[in-house]
Amino acid sequence: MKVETVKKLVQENLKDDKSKITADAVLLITEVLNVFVAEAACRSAKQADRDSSPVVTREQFEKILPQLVSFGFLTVNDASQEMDPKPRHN
Amino acid sequence: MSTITREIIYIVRHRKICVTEKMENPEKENYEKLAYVQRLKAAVHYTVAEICEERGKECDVTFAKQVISALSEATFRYSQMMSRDLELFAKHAKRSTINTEDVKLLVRKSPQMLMHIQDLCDRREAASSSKKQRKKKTSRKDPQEDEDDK
Repeated sequence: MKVETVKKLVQENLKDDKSKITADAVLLITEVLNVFVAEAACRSAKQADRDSSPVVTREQFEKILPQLVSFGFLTVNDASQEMDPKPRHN
Repeated sequence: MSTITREIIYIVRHRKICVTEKMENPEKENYEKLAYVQRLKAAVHYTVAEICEERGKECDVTFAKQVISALSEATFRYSQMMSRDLELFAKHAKRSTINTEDVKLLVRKSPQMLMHIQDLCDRREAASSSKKQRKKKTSRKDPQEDEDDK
């Protein structure tokens, strides 16, 4: 993950204009996000291995999503509130 | 006097421009922001795809496109949540600048992550302090060298 991108991401979501962020903090957030993605990827890859499928599909990803929630990465509340009301086109 | 009037004129003009722009296209700003967010999402998507490919090679699997887009969306949401929390933490500590301490507080719930982040932070601090020392040393050395040259 690029540091610049993360900085923009964080600054985009700051509600107070006065708030700023130090360069070191941005670096740490970048690392946290990297670990988050790697963790999710590894878990879903493992799940695919267990299901003996060579491709990680949505099914496997859905299975490991609650694990990410339980580790405090995501909250259930937030996801359900901001869920798209549009119907899915499969 | 003239500089003040010039400033006032500038402010008035600037405001006028802003107002007219808003009056003419009330949704223009909204669209611009949306485009910006879309670009950020695209950047996140790209990196997530890269990381997934890397991990997939290790475990000998490939990732479906749906998974990558779902994961990048999750990452985006996670970063949103994180920035909100960080802002609140900083505010609680009566600061307006988000610090490394806030990030450590954010990841306290997963001990391994906390250890990792702490380690990274310590290393970074050590590096910066050694840099400062080096700077000090060089600044001390410089005048001596100058004297030697003389």
